[in-house]
Amino acid sequence: MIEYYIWVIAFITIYVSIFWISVMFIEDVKKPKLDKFPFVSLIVPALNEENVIKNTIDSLLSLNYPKDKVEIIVVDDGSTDKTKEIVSAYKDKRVRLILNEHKGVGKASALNKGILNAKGEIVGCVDADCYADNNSLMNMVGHFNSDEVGAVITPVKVLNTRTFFERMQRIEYILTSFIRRLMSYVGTLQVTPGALSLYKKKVIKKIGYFDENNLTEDYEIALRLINNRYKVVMESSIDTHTYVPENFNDLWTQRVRWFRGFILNNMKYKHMFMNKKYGLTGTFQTPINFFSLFVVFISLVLLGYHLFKWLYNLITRILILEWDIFDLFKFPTVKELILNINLKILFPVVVAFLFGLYIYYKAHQYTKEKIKFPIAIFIYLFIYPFLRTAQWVNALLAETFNLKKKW
Amino acid sequence: MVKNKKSIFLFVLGITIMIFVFGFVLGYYMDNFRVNNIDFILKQSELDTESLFVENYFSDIFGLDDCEVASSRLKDYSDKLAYIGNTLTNYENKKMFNKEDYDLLRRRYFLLELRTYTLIKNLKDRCGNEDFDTILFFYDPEQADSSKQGYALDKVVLNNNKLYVFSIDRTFDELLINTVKDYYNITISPAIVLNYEFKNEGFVSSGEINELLQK
Repeated sequence: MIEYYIWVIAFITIYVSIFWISVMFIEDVKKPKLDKFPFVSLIVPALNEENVIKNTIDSLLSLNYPKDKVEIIVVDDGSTDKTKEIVSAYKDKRVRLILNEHKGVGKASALNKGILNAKGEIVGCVDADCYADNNSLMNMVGHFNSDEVGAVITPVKVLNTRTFFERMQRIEYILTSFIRRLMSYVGTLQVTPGALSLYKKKVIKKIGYFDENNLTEDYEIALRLINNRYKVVMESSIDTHTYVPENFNDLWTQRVRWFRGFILNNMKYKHMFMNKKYGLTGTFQTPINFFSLFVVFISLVLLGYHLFKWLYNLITRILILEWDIFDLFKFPTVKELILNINLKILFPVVVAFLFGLYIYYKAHQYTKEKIKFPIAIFIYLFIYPFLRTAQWVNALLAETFNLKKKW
Repeated sequence: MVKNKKSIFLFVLGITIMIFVFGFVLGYYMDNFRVNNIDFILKQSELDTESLFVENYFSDIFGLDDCEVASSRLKDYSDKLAYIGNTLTNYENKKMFNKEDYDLLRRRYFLLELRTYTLIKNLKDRCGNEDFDTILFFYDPEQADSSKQGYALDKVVLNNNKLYVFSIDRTFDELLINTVKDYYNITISPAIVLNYEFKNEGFVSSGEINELLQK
């Protein structure tokens, strides 16, 4: 039974991997022309960000874009530290501070407040702990020449790589940025990360602003854009740099929130599933999303069952043999080792793994990142999937029992 | 954006199918390799048993005393048989193709076991040798109790050099196995027959088997 399941999973995984590799080879990225400079309002939602807000504002002020065409709106969501004072101290007229009276109710509310006060025809959402490349606006804004484009995003790179968890996330972000680039090329990109995403303000107004009751407003707004036939594209020539959770607890909380958001929003937009009206997003990306969830849970059940069976057999054997079990063990010869290979399981797993490794290598090449932190890589490849599965289960249980949503 | 999406998806599907076909071809050759390997060691054991059988027959007719020599060869035969049994089960669990070949190998293996089993009985009767014991073990490969019984027998064999165990799949459709089952009136799995006489159906612990063997 398990081998049939592995073959099906491996077939789809290998199919998807080869698809992305093919896209990589045919990808032909054209830089859009920037013949006019629309006004851009960059909105920074902030809640107790006294340690990072100054650097973020400074990085935004130094962006290579006409000075009279940019404003930075910091929306304070009820900080109790010195965030407001730091922002107020700026004499530059481009920096504005807005206080959000709905204190601490979530980022979406702060973003909406910022958009309502924005002068720009383009609005950008920037997390308070993120830094944009100098040419970000110059390279991103041109994409809005197309009426189809509703949002433009950038690859996101990890700034902090001190702890083990940060290093693992670095690998994850490299892979994610690479896949998003390919998704952008085929038109199936369906997320607008909070790190830095630009939107057409009139489009955001038209589709009804950010959903303030959503756990992952950046994912929901992207799905809503697609639902309204707008595209999300990625500008790969620049990067946005962000800080990621540094310890297990913070990472767990963040991921459970993301995964809950993923489940909720895929339910909300389930009509896109296998729907030709939404192009490849409907016929390719949403089935892959569903498939990923399916794999997580079926794998958990099957793995649990087989692990239990194996442990039960082992314990029974140990109890009956009373530790003489080791006397039964004989070192196999090379021939025996080769003949003992279970191709039914090993072949699909190894092939899928090799394709994964190739994508991993290419992702580093494309993002101009070095392959480093070998222990983190090992853990990411072989142990982290189990952690992710546990996070998915936590997210599903939280949604099933409708637990309180935490931002 | 991607143009001519259909051709990309078909191309990718073609490559994926080719990879899996390669996997099946590899699996096919691996199965053949395994079947040939088992076939080879089974043939060797068949020859060994045949040799012992002829020797036994010869000694019987010509009144020779070969009891000591024949008895000393039994341990080696028994170990080889156990090895073939384990390897066959192991390979069969990993097979992708060649079901018929494996069925044939199992049939030959069970027949070889029963042939050796009868040969030992003959040797015991002819030589009056009570030094070694035999257990005929009927199991069901899908049954947890049969696995437990197998472990218990492993435990007994580990501490008893003069014990020969012959494991027979009770569910395997073979005329001779059915005859032996009928002879001992085996109705459930696991079941063991000690020294050709004492039958026990259901799980028996290693301690209980040792006690029964000492009687």
